[in-house]
Amino acid sequence: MSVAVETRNIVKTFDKGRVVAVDNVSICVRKKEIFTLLGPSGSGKSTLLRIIDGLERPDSGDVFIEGECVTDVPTHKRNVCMVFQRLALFPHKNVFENVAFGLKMRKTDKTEIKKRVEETLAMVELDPKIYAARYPQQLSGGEMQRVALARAMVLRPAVILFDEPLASLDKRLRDKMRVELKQLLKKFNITAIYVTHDQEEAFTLSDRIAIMNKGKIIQVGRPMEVYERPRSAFVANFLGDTNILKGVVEKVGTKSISIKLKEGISILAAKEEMFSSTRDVIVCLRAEKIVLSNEPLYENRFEALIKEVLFSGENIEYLAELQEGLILRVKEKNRGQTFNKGDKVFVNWRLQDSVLISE
Amino acid sequence: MGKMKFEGSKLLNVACFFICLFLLFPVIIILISSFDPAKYIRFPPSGFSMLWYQYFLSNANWQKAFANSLYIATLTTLISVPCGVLAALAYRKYNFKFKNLLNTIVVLPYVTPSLLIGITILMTFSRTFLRGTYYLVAAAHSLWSTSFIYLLMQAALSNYDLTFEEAAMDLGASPLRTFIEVTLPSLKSAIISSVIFGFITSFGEVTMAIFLTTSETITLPVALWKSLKFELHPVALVASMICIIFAVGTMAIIVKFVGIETLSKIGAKTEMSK
Repeated sequence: MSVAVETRNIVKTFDKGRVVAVDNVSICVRKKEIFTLLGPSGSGKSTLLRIIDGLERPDSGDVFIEGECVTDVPTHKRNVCMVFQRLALFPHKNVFENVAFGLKMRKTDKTEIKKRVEETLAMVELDPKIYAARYPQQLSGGEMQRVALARAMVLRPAVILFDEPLASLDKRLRDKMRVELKQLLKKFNITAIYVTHDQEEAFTLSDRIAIMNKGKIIQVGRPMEVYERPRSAFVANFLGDTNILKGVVEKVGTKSISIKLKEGISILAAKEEMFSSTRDVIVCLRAEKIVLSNEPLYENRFEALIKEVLFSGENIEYLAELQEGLILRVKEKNRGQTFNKGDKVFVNWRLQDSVLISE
Repeated sequence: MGKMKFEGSKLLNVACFFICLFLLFPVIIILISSFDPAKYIRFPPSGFSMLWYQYFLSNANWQKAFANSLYIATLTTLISVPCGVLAALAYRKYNFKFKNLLNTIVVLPYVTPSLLIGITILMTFSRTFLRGTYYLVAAAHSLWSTSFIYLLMQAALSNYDLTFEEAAMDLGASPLRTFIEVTLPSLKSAIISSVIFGFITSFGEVTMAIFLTTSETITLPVALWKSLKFELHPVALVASMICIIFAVGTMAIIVKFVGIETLSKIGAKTEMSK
């Protein structure tokens, strides 16, 4: 599999070095891959994207596009395109002129421009006959989105960069556009780097996700991998609803490890070679992996008292207090409420759902 | 956006009417009197004729003053519009050393009494070949109108989204192409207003011009001022009307292009810098 974009040890600071936006970041994006940079705001993901695009210069480090070092190449000479957060469709140009802009700058032949613009508009399912002469102000949010994509696609760049392009849409449209975007990117085998702070968006779109925090890449992997196997408390906490518990490895058995939590109780986790006795560990327990019941079910089972019931439509969230004063968040699908505040229940989870992170 | 219906009391309406009348009254008086065929200025007029308009148009001195004003105003526009527009763009787009200091320096001529600018420029250049030339007047006017255009452009640029320029460069436009393809069209109406403002501030300016012009380079407002001071000749009323028509026409065009909101923003900005 060949590499489309690579960054090596990128560092970028602002305010004369006082703010480190990107801290020694190296990523490698393969061809035809949708690669997402996911992180909280201020984590440096947009800055990294702008460095790849050439809108910002890194303090040190290099950017490679299709194997060629482009660190000193200005934006307008790089074979990359960006879809901006606010899309930045030129308001004084119509749809055709917007999409044709890049080709015009590359001095493409007029008939070729017309052919390719119409072709690309058709690709994003905008009928050129209807839309070519319209101005951005006359388009709906979804249509503008597609024009912005077409404007980048028409140039057939090595990679298209997306800077939270769906952030300004309302939720319903955003969910719809997300699916559409993924289908388009996959259908035409486009390499994409996508920046977002929305984890659901990252999970559904991406082939691989890089989690960023404070300018650093914390973990890279397939969506399922980073979700199920977080390698740090930050990732575990950032993705989904997680109970983070601290403890010490107490006993290593043949199949399982027993961990004594600082609250006093002992829980079981699947055996992993790297965790030996007396070692400090963090246990990540996803709220949706815990099952409430009247009878004990799995390897980990504890009596608990329901302290709070929070209804959020699709899900019901419980705060369950274990006897030792430990409160766990439990998320269940809404299948009609089964427990009430004050109920005595069992909280249960399987061995493999106690995800261990070395401290 | 729907306009709110303003429902003031009757008293307020009457007050507004009189205030407007008070503001417009002098202009109306001048307009009426300029058609008076009498040999001296007075009110009410004794009749109606185009006598002094004909006099104005056939008199070589007035013609020259009018032509000089047009010439100097054109020069001023050519100097101050590029300077003011580019300075405002630089302020909006880049961070550089002494940015705040430079900002103050550019605005300074606008808040300095034009009398002072006139005298100091005269003192500085009195022994040079520039003395009494069109260029020196145009330079002095440019100083003033550059800072005004700078403020006007800053107000217009506060709503200007730099992402458009980034998008253009991202799509392969060189910085120069970006300026031509994206920056200029986006700022079209503000630049048109700058041109008109640059022109009219120079065309109507009298204080600096009194110091810097000679009988050869005399401008219309200076000629008007001299005529009023030394002769009180009725043709001065015609010259006043020409100046007023220029100013009112200009304002009408500007309001059409940039709207009254941007103008009030400039007002707020100059208040701050004062």
